Amino acid sequence: MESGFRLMVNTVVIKNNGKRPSENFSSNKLHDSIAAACLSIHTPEGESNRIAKEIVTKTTEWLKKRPEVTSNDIRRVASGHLAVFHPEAAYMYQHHHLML
Amino acid sequence: MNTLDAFIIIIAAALIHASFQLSVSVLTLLSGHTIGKKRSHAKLLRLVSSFIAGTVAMTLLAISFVALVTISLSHGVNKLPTIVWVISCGMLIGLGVAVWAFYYRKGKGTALWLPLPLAAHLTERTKATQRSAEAFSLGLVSIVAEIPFVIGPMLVTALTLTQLEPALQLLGLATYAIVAGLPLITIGILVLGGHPLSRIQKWREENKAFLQFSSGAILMLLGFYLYVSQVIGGLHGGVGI
Repeated sequence: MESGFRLMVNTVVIKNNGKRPSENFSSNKLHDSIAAACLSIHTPEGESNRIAKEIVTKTTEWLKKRPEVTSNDIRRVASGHLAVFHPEAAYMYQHHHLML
Repeated sequence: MNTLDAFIIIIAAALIHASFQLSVSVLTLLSGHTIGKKRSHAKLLRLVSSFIAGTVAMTLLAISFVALVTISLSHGVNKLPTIVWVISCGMLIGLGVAVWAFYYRKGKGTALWLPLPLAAHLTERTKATQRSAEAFSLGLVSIVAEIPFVIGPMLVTALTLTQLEPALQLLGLATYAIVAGLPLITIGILVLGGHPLSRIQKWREENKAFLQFSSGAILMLLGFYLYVSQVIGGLHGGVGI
């Protein structure tokens, strides 16, 4: 999924508690995963993208003050914001890695 | 063992198999990724049906294999040796305790007992699945990965099938596969009918303790029942079934 939506922030993301290589925060990746969570519960595409943009903006704002965060931190903060807009999508976003 | 008793045992074993959640989790993930990537409804239908076909195929293959081994080992003997039933009953009761102890990981979600690298690999494979053949093989793998738990009900079914007439063996095999596949078929229908995945996943999470308790309890009950009917009954000249 190509969102074409990019917000710049220089934060390093520690993935899977350091078990996978760290990488720079990508607003595109966050946008796509939020939009995918919304789409997976049959939210219309336009609304999914609008919500995803909103969440990325809020999460990026939070990241500006932090040089290093974990992927779990991003998931927690983003799903907290997403819960305000779309509780069911927030549930899917927060839990999809806890299914197996 | 008469035909009715045999089919009751097969259905009970299949219900235990149906209560195990690995294939259901993989199917839920697969559906979520497919819908989330804006793939067409036809594609979703192909992937879901291929996945279910894969699980059914592997279930049939596994039981047939165990039944074949059993028949080969008991060649020329009309009745299975008591020790075979004793081992099977012990396995069922042990698995029942294991299900109660660690089938689900503690905490939120429906994370299962799987080793984390295997769970991560299955998650990655599920995300990467785009073709029907991949979904089919994912279905095969999901049954193989669950073998440590489904081996109990499969073994009992295979042993029971060997006591039946050949035509009834096929019917018993089909009955097991259909009953064991019911949760997947139900979830497939719900997903294809537009039911939100979040509600399916929430239901699974809210009821995981009940599913864990009931599958452990039925495993133990089936173990005790078979012990009484096949082991004690066999020692006392065919008391019971």
